[in-house]
Amino acid sequence: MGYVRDYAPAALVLVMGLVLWEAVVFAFSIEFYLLPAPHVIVQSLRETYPVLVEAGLYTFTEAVLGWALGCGGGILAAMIASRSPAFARVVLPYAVASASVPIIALAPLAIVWFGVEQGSKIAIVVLMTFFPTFVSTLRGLLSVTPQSLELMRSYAATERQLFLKIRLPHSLPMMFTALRACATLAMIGAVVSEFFGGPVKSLGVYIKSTASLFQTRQAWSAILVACALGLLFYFAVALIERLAMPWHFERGEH
Amino acid sequence: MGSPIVDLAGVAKTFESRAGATEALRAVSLSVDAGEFVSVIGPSGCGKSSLLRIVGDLVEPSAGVVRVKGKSARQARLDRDYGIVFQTPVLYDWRTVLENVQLPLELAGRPRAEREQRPRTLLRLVGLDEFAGHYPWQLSGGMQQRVAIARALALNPSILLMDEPFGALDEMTRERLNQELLQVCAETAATVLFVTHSIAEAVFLSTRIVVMSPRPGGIERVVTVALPRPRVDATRADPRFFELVTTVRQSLREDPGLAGDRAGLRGR
Amino acid sequence: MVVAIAVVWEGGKALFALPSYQLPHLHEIAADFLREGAGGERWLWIMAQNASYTALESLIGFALGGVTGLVLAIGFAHSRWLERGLLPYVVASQTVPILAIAPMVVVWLGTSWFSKAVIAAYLTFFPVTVNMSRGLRAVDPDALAMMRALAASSRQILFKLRFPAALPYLFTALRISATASVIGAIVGELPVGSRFGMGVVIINAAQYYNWRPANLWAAILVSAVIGIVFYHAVAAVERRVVSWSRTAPVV
Repeated sequence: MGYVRDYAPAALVLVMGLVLWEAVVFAFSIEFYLLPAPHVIVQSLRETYPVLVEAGLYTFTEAVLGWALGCGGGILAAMIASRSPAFARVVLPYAVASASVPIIALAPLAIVWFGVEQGSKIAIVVLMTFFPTFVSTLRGLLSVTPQSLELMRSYAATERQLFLKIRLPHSLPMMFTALRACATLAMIGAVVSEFFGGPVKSLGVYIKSTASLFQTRQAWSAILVACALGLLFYFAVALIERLAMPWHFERGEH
Repeated sequence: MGSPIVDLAGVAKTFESRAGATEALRAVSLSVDAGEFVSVIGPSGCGKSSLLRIVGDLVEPSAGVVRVKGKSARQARLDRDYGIVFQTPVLYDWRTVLENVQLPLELAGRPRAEREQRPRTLLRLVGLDEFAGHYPWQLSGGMQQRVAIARALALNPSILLMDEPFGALDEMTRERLNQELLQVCAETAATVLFVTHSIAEAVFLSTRIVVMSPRPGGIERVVTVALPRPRVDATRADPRFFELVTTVRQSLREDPGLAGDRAGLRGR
Repeated sequence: MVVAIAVVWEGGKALFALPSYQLPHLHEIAADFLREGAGGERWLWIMAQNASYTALESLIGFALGGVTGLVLAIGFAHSRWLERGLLPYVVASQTVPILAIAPMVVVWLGTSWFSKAVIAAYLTFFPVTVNMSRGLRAVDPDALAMMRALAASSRQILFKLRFPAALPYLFTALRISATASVIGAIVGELPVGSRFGMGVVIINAAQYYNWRPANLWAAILVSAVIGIVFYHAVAAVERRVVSWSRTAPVV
């Protein structure tokens, strides 16, 4: 019964929200170009399905590839940096501060460098996901307790053993937190980079151009597709996380 | 008795920091024979943990000689002569209880059969064989510390170094684990160097107690504990037990900080 | 740091023989600020105007989103039902590309500064709500028991215990939001019809990139500076306000 208590309010809010949305649109006879009712969006989704799937896959590919390269690079860089904690402590503040740079603004430059097609969007996603992954993984790798290090030293463990058996598994929870957050970030990066310019068959350009033509229902159905893909990506990473760290989830706290 | 397991001669340690140099230990000489249980007791900041770490080659002494089984401490560490237990259990979340105990055997590259057998034997010894498949967080603090002891014994170490291993446990659990530790030591014929804050614990466990004085740390006095073995609950009620507790407490009071007060009293 | 970047920049340009089309000299970017624009004004002035426009949008959005997030988090702390009903959506909204609806917000609210501030606000609002409600709940149970023992009212508990305890969480969110609000404002300026702000300058500069590449670089540089200034301003306030905090929570 705990499920009902935990999820009933959320489900109720969803249903009420949808009903209210429909009712408001109907009662005030709001023009569909301003705010289409949910059933109109669903209808439009059915009609434009093939276009949206093509655009969705195009943008999703950018997000996934960029995520894989950016996060992979971040993890690799963190592993290398963790070899020298002194060096790591010098670079860490700068990597953290990189969060203050609105990387998305680089999108038009990425087009100059990597072309208007997928390359430039992937590049932006790589930049956006690299630093958070690097910072979290590095913190995870370095946050092994001093006692743990003493214990390993007392067993005359090699650097390699220390890394593979202690540092790496110890860093996994923080690493995966970043990987999950970066999945969302990647989808945002891909769509919004396309706002700065991209081919017509992409989700971002589709949303921006239909919105500017007041084809609101098309824009909304595209946004829905973007959200669905974002969720899919997020939960795929969350699933990998569960498989990679069974010990972390048996506690039932997560 | 052959040559001692641990032999310290004139060991000193000074820590350098931005705030200046702190002298932690001065001229400590001590030897521990095979099968002995030596406790090191003293007030906070007397350098007893540093002493333990110097023996285990986790900290370099500033001066003096450390020999373990006639070898340098470093060589002894590389030969995996040590088993260490800290105040916190330092168990790894991603390993089951059994896998945690296996860790030292994996690190030493021991054959598979030994990696399977030895940890099970040790878990039986500390009474946790039923919990082999559990994760550490599913165990109580006392049980976790027993896993840490089993792990420390995995490679059959020549000496067990224990740094306040029961300091974070409640009094009842601590007394029970004291008892169990003595049984384990008897069965494995382990030699132990044991750092503690608790006088009663030191008296109950030890063959000898090293009482340290603070700033810089040095040996104030060594008390030999001639209580009969095996030690049981009744030992704690033995009058000689109280005598020894009193002796150790008085030795601890002979603190230079307090000596000044006494001098003041005498002057009156 | 600045010197290091300059060395890597010019070094990289020389090493890979990159033309100014791909990577202009730093002095070319600097020179762009002194160039006269179509209206006879220097670009330094044009950039400053647009930058302050964007900064103002971000600031208004940041304040708006911050306050909304705070109020909602306090509401969550008071009502389990409110929390169970709404928090899942606030959390779920962090897993979807919420910024994708920016063009729709512009459709609703027009191309004035207000729509940009609203976009900046909702990017600010999510992290603040999530982190703040986490912070308000992360009170030490013993401290709570002590307040109860002292017969503190729930208002006193909120202001004297929960709120201070949640401050480190709040600031972690505000730091993220500071940059996010600038991103929100810039992205809000992208849809057709906007006339001011760094988003507009960037889009225009991108269109004329072939003629004067340094202009785009300059525009991006200015945008980055706005983000960095915002972030560090919040971080500076954080250091003053929660100087007692031993460990800032990592999000």
